[in-house]
Amino acid sequence: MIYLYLIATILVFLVSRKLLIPIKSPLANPLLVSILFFIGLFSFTPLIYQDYATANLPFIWLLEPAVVALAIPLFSQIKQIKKQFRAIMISCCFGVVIAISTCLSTALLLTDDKILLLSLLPKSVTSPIAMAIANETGGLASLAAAVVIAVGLLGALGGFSLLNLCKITNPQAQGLAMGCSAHAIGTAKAIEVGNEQGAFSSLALVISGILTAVLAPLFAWLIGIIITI
Amino acid sequence: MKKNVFTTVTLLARSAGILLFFLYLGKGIQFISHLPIPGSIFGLLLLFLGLNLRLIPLDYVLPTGSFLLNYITLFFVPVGVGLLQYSDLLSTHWLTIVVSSVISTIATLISVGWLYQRFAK
Repeated sequence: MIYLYLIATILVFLVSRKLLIPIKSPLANPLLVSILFFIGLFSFTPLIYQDYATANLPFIWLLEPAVVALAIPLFSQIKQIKKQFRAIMISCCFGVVIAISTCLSTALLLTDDKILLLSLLPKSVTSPIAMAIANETGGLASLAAAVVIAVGLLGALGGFSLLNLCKITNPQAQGLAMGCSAHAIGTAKAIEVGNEQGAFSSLALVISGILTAVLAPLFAWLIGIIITI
Repeated sequence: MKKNVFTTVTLLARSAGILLFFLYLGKGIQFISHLPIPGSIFGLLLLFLGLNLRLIPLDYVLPTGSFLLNYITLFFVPVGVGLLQYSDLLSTHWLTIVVSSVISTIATLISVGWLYQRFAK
């Protein structure tokens, strides 16, 4: 019976996607509306969230082969990727350092809670990498996962509006920016916007994920030093 | 008509099989290497390599692959609803999380986009 929740997820998503088409606002996002619908449902009614989570496990499983399938848009843009390899690496490397350092420096103004800081560190990368990083550096994997999801939604909702506002209109630049800042949720949005955006966002998702995993211990060590000062 | 259904099913099964093969190959690498990179990311890289080396024709992965990519946003709905589990953690630290995430996400989006437009050929 709980599997009705699986059908409910599909229905709520498809209906909100249909209804929101005429509304031209970044907040009129079917993903956001569906999530808020269910969060509201389990917050304000006696229905149990755990049943929903169990029933929707198939979607969580499907995410894994879907990530593997991101190789398809990547392959379709192989010529552009080879041509722009240097620019891609430069922007992703700086992007990772900027993502971590701006996040930690603003957080340090507000808190000196080491566990919180270490959990915020991997906020721009896909949740399995972020949770592994948090585990390794001494952060809290569950807090890291929650922050990652929130950041992904933020990027998916406002990312393209901000990029267009800042005259970043090159589809490849938009894709890389989404993948570096909002990981897989941003990439899902980028795929909807266009093939080129989707491919470059997948690319940035992979590159920034790996780079963040490599650089995380260094930043974790820096946090340790800064806090003790 | 009957033959068409049969071919569709075969093509779907073949593409699903290839995606799962690469996923579990990736998971195997993750298991052996103990790197903090998920198996699905290794799977993505290996499939990308396989496509480039023409070991796997693109047509072989397209049926299931494009289906999954068309609905990838839907799969994130339960992930987002999962934030409910973390409501205590999030409400304790909400100010730090919101301020640092918003500022850092804006900075990353703009700097990556700007740098790429500056350096792209």
